Amino acid sequence: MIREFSKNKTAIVALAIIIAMLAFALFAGFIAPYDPTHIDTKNILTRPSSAHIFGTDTLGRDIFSRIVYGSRISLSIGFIAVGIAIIIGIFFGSIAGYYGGRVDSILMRFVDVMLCFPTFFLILAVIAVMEPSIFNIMIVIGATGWMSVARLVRAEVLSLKERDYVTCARVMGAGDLWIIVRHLIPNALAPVLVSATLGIGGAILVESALSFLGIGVQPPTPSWGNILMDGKSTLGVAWWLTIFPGVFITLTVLAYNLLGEALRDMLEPRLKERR
Amino acid sequence: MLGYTARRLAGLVPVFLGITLVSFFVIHLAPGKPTDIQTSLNPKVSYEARLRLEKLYGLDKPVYVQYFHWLKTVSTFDFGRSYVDNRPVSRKIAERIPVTILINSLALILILAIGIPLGVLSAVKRNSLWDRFTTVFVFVGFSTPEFWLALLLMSLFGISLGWLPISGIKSLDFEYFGFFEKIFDIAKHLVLPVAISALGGLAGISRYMRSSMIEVIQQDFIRTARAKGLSEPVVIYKHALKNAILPVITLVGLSVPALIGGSVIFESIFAIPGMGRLFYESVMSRDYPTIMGVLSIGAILTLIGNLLADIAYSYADPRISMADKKEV
Repeated sequence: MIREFSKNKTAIVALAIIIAMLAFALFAGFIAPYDPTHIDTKNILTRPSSAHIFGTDTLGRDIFSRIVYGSRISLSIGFIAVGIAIIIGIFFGSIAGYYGGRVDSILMRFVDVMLCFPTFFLILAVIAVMEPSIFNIMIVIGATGWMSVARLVRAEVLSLKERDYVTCARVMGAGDLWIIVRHLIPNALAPVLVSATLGIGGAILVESALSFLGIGVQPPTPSWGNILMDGKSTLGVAWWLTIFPGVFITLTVLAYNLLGEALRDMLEPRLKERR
Repeated sequence: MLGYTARRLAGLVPVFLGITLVSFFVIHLAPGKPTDIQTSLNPKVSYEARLRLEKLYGLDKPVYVQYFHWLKTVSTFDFGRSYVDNRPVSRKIAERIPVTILINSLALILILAIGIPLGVLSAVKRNSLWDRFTTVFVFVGFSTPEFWLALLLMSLFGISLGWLPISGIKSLDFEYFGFFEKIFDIAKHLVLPVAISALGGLAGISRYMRSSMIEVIQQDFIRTARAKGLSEPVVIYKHALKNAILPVITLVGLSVPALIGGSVIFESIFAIPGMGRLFYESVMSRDYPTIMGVLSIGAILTLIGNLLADIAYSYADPRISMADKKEV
């Protein structure tokens, strides 16, 4: 699989972007030339220059430093929200698939209900009512994004539980919990990996949209979305405030989408296209 | 066919109830009360007055009692009155919904009209320059934040070039226009919002169409069709497309919630007085009846979208409704 991966140029580029962004987030303190919240009234809205490579905003804060620190917030929201979605999805999906019958139909009906939600409305309502904090945003995005994982895991578990090795485990006295956790879930993870990779991009987009509407990450903490929001009012005079954070969001989301697609090609041979 | 539709319609009722139940509890169980803004944050309001206000809105009762009360009034198509201006929620929504539906259906038409041919062409000319180009376009389109693109296009077409208006749905002197001028004026205002709300879905649909088409083209009946000497266009557009479009129909149904959700964003960017903005405003002022009203209407629109997709699916693939009948 690694050899196959190394042949796929798009996947390599995507992975490189992802690693670069992670490095940004991890080593923000070393990479960012300025304090992201430092207000410098003498340098308001300066054009990109050697001192401020992405320019400064209406409060004289360095845009590059804000983007670097913002990557911490935006990426951790992406990762943790998807992590929550995966945990909920695996939980419901494996139970529905393993026990079948009434449990299955109730859980899957619930999934149908959740899929019919205009999810963004729900997220908006919950965040606004609970007051926006990074923690709440992660939970809400995760809690509204687990349905596809649940469906995937259920489908896998449905076919896996009929295999001989599961019967074998049961004969040897393994309990339901043991079978689900040790034998079924690990083997059902491949499609989840694809969906998670694609989900991270989606979660980053949702966070940026929320912050853009002013109910996401609250200033002065920088996130890619709220840097963009700061730039909204000065778009006519200071393009750099809007262009750079947008490019970072697009590049990152693009990288996760491409990686997800490459993983899908590798893990699901039926859909594989000869390149 | 009629029986199938009726069965599907009946199946939607529990889903609708589920949606309202989840939204109601999520919103009402959140800490804080909508009356806080008017009362406990205002030192002039006495404790008794606050209790009276809560009683007036029925907020002093347990949540499940409130839910059943809400459900009872909704069953008569009454969504209650807004906490903000005391106007009936149903009227507030009725004023706002036509624009949103107009924009979303135009966007949906655009998505189908462009996305399907785009996907088919890429599948037929797989790995060609055209295919590579559309693949890049699709992925970038899928990954670009809508609101960011909206801002950029707004500043390009609206401010720098001055070709298109950037806010609202009609010009200030709209009343003095003739009929055709009025239509042209609205159309001009709708170009950017429709184009932007279509973009994300467009990328998804054309990608999906492509992979579905590639799968179908490799099947035996296509080889048979080619072998018996049918021309390539007939093979592709008559035999392959009909089968490849099936999964796409379902996807269209599922993309309705995303379209409706997206309307919050572009309506607030373009200052369009639609349902998305109404929702945003009501969320900000904790106007529970309006929030619930918009969520329910949004859910109904989504369910209608899904239902239409299902019906279209059963038209395209008669096996579906037949299999369903046998099951029952």
